[in-house]
Amino acid sequence: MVHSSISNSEPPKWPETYWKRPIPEAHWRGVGLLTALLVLGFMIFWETYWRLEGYEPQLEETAELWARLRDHAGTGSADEVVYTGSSRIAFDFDQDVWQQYFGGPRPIALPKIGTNPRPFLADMANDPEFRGLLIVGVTEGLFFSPDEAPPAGEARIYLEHRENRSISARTDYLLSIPVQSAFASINKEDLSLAALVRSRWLDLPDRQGAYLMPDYPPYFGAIGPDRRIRMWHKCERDRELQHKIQQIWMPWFQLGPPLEGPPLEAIFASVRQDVETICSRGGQVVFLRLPSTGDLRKVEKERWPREAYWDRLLRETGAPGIHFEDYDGLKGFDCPEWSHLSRVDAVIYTRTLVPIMQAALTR
Amino acid sequence: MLFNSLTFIVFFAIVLALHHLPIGWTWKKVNLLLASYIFYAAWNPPFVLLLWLSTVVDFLAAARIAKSEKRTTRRFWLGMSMLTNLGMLGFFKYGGFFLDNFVGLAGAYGFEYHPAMASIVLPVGISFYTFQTMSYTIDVYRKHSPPSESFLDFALFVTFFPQLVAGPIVRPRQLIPQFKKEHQATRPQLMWGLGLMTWGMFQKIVLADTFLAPTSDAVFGAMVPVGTMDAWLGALAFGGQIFFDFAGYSTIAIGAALCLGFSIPENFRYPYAAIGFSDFWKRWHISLSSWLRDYLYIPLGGNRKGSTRTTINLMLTMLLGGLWHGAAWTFVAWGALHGFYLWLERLCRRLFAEQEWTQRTVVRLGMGLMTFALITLTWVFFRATDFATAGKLIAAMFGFAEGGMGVLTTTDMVLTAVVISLLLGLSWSLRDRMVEDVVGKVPWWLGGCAWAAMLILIILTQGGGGAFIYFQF
Repeated sequence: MVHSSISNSEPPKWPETYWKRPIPEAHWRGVGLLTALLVLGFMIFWETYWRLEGYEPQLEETAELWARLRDHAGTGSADEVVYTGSSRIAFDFDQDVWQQYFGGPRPIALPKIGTNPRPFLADMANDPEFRGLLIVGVTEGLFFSPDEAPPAGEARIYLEHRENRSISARTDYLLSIPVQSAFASINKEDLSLAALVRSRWLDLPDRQGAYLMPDYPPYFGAIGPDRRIRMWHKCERDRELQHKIQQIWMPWFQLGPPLEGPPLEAIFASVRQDVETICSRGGQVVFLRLPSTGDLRKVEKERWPREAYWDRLLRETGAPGIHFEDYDGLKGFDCPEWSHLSRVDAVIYTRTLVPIMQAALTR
Repeated sequence: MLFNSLTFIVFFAIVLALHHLPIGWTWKKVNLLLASYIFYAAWNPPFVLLLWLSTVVDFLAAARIAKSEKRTTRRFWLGMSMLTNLGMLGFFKYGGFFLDNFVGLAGAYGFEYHPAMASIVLPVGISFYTFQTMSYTIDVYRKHSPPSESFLDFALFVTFFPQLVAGPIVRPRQLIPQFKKEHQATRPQLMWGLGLMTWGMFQKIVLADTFLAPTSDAVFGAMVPVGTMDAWLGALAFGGQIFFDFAGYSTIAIGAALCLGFSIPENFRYPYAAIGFSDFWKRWHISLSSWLRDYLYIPLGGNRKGSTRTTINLMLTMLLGGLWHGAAWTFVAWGALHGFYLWLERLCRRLFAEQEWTQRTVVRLGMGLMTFALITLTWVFFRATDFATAGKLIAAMFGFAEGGMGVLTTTDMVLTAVVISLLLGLSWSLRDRMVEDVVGKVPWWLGGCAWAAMLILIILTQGGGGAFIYFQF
């Protein structure tokens, strides 16, 4: 070190004075009081306004909430029921109705909105303690998307979170529950600053020819601590909101060409492997195709013809599957925004599903 | 734990309450030390062991250095400290990088080598606290500072939670003396500390994460060639994002320390109002740039050994400064660009320093804008995950990208333009002042309104935003 001065015998001393941060001159009591009053006043106004607009307190869908429920799965019991998939099964599958009619323990909800559930299926297959029934909701556009595409990435984010979650992630979740349960204005999809600025306050028309991802749908379903999503009552009635969401689904379901050829074969192979692994431990896997309607169903039929995707999936894996169009009791539903069932219909759907599922499991 | 989390709010309230209990100063320091370990363990408890290792080794090494007048003994203990800290840093941060490059190099010479690649998790903040503890041992070696008489004071210096994981990198002379006497914030200190914490959170959560991050993410993650305007907006947005993110963290750290009665020095001084690159480095991440100056550049010879050695020293310092930020060649390129800029500036200064026209306001403004534009270019290497992405973006910025498309929404373009313009305008109007001077002149009711507005916008983000960018360094 160039500046070492070890020949200097004078011992150094800690400085008696050191830099002290200056404090601005201000009437601090007044500043603090005014700040508190303004923030409190705003929060009361904000909460009241959104409650009058029909919003209710709900939980936020987070990786931690998913991870906490995942911790309850894989008990080694043959009775346990776990369901995964994308948003449709989260909206349409009613745990209470299932438990009432099917019996056994309460099903554990592990779907995630907008995800490819194959990584979740693989996760259950890799859990040596899972020996129960796994119901997998299939939305072809997501289930048959490539591993490197965002839908599978979304699922992997949750799995990685569970693997590496910190203590503070757990405490944040616990602390957030009373706050989320108290305030209707806590609603990330519609009422966060990012959503307000981009969707309400400064929603400017985009340039012609710009390469942009389609918009995300606004808030239309509330998630509970059991991760069951119930359609927002406003979405069940408000035609304008329904139409808005319908128009958002269309570009999402037409993004890129449907998967074919070797990548599709690889998907069948990996799903077959996962199903075999679960079955070899005494577990069962059932695939579920939940209702969709309107122009969206037309697009799905056109892009993912049943024989090439759904039928092939069942043939390749040997697992039972329940397609809503195969059963009179399951096919008459009207999805308000073409993709998910209303709260009442979810109850009826699940009640109708139970005997069909029981028959499929004993087949 | 993250500053922008509910856990931190509860944690800080408890720490603050305990710090104000009528108990002895030693117990208050024990409270702060335990709180700091809890703060760090909230990420990954086993990594507290590394903090302890660094603390114990440097405390012992500095004590032995101070006791001995023998050069070999002093050098041995200095070497032990360096080996421990740089060894930890090297293993956890650069292990994979060195191995990857070794494998690549061996492959280039025809040797197929496939080592077992261990997945190494980077302990958060390791680059910061290892530099802080090394500065202590080096200062004792140089006899610039005495060794700490109290292990508790030293452990707290290494671990003090407000600045533990992302700086400012505090020097021993700045903090250890503050632990010797009782410190408790006065009411104005507490209020100003809370005000600074709010300002820092606002910068991070609202300006960086909500307004600018979507633009830089869209441009740097684009799957298609990006148009010129979008490329510039993406680079500008990242420049703003990293400033608000990191300056925000430093401001929260300074505010949190002040609430406890401690003063931590400034880490940013309106860097985007810099005129020239040496001015920039006096304003950006001041605690790191001054660390590199004092413990690397000057020991290398600084500017005292002729112009060629000065250039080499500058380049070496900036290259290592780049590598400090991350184990990737893109960070080295970022450092190299800054080294080149600094060399160019020295050259220009030699040619034009005496010219009167260089002091005209319009010329200074032009030089400031040019500095900002050139620094914006360097951020491309900092943000891009590889040289291919960086190259494409630089090409797009200069109009060389074929079939460049718009990848930004009009809303994000407007948000980026407005926030960056405000950032530049405010930086220029405040460039020679401290924020305390400005706030002191504002009517109290306006201060209350501004504070409330920031808090409301922070609340409206609903906990948006993730970890601070500098945590990964």
